[in-house]
Amino acid sequence: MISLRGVFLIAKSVLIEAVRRREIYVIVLAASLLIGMVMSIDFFDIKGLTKFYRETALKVMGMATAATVIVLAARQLPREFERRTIYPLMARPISRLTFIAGKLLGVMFSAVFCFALFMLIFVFGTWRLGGEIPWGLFLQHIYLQLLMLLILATLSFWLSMLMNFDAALTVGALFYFSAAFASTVILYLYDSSGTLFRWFLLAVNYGIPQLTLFDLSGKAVHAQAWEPLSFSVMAQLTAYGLSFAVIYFAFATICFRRRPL
Amino acid sequence: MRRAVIAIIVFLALPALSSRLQPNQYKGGRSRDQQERFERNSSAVAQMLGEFRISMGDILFLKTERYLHNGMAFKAHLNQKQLLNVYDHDHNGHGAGDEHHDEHDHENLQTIIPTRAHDFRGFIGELERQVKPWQDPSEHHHEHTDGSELLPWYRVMTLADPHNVRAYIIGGYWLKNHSIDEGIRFISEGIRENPDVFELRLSLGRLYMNKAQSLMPPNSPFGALPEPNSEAERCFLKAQEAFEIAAEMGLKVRPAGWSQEAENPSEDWSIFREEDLLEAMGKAIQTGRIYRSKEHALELAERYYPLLPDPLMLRYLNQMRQLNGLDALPETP
Repeated sequence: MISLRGVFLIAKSVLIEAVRRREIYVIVLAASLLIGMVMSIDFFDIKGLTKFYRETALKVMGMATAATVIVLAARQLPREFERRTIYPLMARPISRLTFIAGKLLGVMFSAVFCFALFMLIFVFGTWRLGGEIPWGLFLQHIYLQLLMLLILATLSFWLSMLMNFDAALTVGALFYFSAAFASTVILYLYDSSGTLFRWFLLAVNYGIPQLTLFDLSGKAVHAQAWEPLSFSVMAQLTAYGLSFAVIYFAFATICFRRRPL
Repeated sequence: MRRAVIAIIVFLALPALSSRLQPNQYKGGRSRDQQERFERNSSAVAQMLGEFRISMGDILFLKTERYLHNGMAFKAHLNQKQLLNVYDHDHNGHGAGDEHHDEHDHENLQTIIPTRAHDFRGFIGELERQVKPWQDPSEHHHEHTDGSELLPWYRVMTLADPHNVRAYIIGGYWLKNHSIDEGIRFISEGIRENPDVFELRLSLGRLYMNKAQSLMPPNSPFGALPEPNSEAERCFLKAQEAFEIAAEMGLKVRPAGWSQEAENPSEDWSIFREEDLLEAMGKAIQTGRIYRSKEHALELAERYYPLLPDPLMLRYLNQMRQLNGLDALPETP
């Protein structure tokens, strides 16, 4: 059985640890310096050019948060085993499902915390450049990014149960950074492929989460030309994202349960 | 510890060591002439780093394409020839003047994200068409943005690679809509970095002409003389000087006897470069006649025509001859 109180307690401890370790601050600071550099470039003294800033900032923020989530998620379980801190925890009346759910929630809290810091910087930067924030698309983008981070976190948990921390981190990062590229490659390859390979591409298309679907930055950057997504589309994306998150989380839990203490 | 220090020193010294590599030195960038591209590709360092910078240049140019189309990604723009064609029509005014809604150029464009009829991905394709900036190209009027938001990308391109000539030219073109002086500064920076590229001089001449026209009284016809010693006159003379320099530099690099129909046309020269050179020569003659003297214009036409015996040049030459009281030369078919 899952204990909600237990989940929140573990999640809180993960978040506190993430905040105390200052890794998030370092990532946010490094990303902010990059964004600051972009803001400091003199674009011919023309005011109100915010698309370039919006695009760069959203990309940097997205990548930095994804990197944070992959690192945090991939190390949660292996470190508990390495440090042997899992034994006293498991000695308490906490189920393994509660434990892993708490860890996942804690990682997602950390992602939200990281994103919130970035949002402050983004809003400040936009205000400083004299631009407007397209709130509808912007908030939808954040929501979809958090869904994508949930997929990444659950995948990283599962990977960390299959391989060591370094390998899980590398595979998770490779998956994230090659996702958009892979989606385009599938499209190009399909037309010139034979029947068998087409079945393979179809399987890849449906079997692997297409992370590009959670990136609304294209519309958020060119917001003057596009409307926010409809409720129906947001619901479909939510269902799509959650289905992969649930599957990966189930695999991670199964692997975790089978792992001898 | 000592090993670590030595390793760090060796690592830091690597860029210096690369200058010893043969043949040639690497000078990155995508949008330069064919000769430079050849030199770059034959460089040892280029083989290690060149592709990365070329790809970066391509990515940044594609980014400006997307900004021009409100974020939509078109497949046809990935084709280098079409990319050049669209830019030359939209940005440099080849053939289409200053018209940015030149719809016939985009009739056959396909989006990178395919239409439902051509997408095997089912609901995933459907979602992507909703999430990404996308419109069915057959159902929607193709519109371009005003181009101002593209400017930061040209600045970044030239900061990353000061030899990216096309970024200077196209950036200068867009800049003139906001500030001609900034455009002149940008092109002048391009000339400092690339002193041998005649197209930059031509762009500078165009911008000085724009500035001079803006300083003239409203509704002044083309060719109206400015007040003596005025800022407008100075700008017209600078434009004339830039056109003359562009023509001289272009004639030096143009392969002798170049023809578009030749079986093996030179890779160093394209029809766009030929058109640019003709424009530079034509404007040098025209502005020379108006703002300097008819004798000077005749001198230029007589110099240019034998070097580039184009019917347009012959027309200019005959005009200048008649203005100077000489008989026109026979026009050969």
